[in-house]
Amino acid sequence: MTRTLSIEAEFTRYPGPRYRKDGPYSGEEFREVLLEPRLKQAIYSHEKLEVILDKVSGYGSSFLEEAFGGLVRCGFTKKQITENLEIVADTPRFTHHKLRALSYIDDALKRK
Amino acid sequence: MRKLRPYHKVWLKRHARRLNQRRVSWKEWKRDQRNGIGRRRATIYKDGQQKQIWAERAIPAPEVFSLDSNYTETLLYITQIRDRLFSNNLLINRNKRRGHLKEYADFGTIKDISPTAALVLAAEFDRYRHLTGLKFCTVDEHRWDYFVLSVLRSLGFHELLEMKPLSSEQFDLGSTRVLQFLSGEQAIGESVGRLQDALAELLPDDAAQRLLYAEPYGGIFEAILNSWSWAYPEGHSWLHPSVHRWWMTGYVDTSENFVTIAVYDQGVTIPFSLPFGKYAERHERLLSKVLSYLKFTGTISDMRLDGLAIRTAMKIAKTSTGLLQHGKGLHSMQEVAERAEYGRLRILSRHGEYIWETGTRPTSQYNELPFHGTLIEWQLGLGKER
Repeated sequence: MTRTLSIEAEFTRYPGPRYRKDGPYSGEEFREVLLEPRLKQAIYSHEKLEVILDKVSGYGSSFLEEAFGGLVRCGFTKKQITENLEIVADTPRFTHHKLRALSYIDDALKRK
Repeated sequence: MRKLRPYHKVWLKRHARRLNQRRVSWKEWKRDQRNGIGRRRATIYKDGQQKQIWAERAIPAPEVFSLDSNYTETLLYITQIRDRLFSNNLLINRNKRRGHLKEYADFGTIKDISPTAALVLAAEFDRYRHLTGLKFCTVDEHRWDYFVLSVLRSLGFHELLEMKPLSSEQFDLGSTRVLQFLSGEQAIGESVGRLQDALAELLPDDAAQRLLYAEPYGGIFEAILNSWSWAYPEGHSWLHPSVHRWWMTGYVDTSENFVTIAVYDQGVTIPFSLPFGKYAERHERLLSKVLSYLKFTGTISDMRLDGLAIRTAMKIAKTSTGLLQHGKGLHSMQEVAERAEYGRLRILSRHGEYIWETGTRPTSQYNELPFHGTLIEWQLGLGKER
């Protein structure tokens, strides 16, 4: 079974900076409030969490790095991320954000 | 000879003094007129009414007010206005019977204006408004060029200055649409999203899609985030009082589907805030290599290297991973221009200028006249309707 998390529907249409202190709807807030708990649930129930990137106004690189690269820094393993997390971009406009988010996870894993 | 009575003597003395004063004033007035600094009647709009006041000295703006085609004169004018704002000479002196202006910014001389340069000027008035709560009056607005007046009003000058109230239907910029500037302190995505949506609405569907594909949101967001995070460091001593804000606007040429977006801050500039952290070593190493190749004898903190410093930072941001936020953000800005059909990114920061343009190699240069703060401008050609 697959769980979904739409950033636009459940978080904001206007993603913000990296940290909470820099402005509203930050990557840090998204990760702590939504992404981490949902991913933990998905891991616990052996399901896949689909994070849908589409329909927002856009992303700053800092938001994506903190949200997805931050997963590695806060303790999720490569196995957990590859088996239980899928980043989805349904439209071509958001495909490069998906690739970027994946590269941030890779970078964080390399630095770990 | 008739003997004068005492009161007559007093009257004659006073009369002579008055005549002499008038003669001296007249000579001074003539001299000022000859030197182009004569006091003259001017029309202002204040407290909901049109008024006549005495205005002494005009500070005429250049005919072409643009940081592209008339960089030096435009920047000199903005610098002059910035210095004058804090001298209070531009405020009406109410001690005199008929209101009196020692100096005033004369926009009547402008024949062509770029909204980007107007944004930098607007930021000066906005800073003053935030610091003092005061607004300056415009002088002889009826003499301004119609296009210039329309650009300034569209940009939001009517909120910064005391201007005659007009509805937006009363001015027409032809195929150009200028959005009112937005300003803030923190990095707020909603402001950026509103600007991007407003620009997209002005374009036909096809071009709007191409604009969104270029993702200006990401670039603009990183620009205002850099302003919030790095442009106004604590403890920095400022030449002029600082308000720690960013300003942005956008405008569209609907006949060409050409969009321009500008983000400006009055902070310490990119060359000043570079380099730092882990980034510092890589930046210094790369810059030193370039300098030895160029046989440059100065140090890397030399302001003549500002353009090169921005270019080096862009290069590192593009090719490296594991950078701090500032590094990644710079490349996100360039990506906007890269993703458009035609794109041009121009960064002006202190003495440095960096340009990335579709189909050409990136260039950087040193400008003798320093730019106060950082201006980032994207020009995006989105192609004609297919």
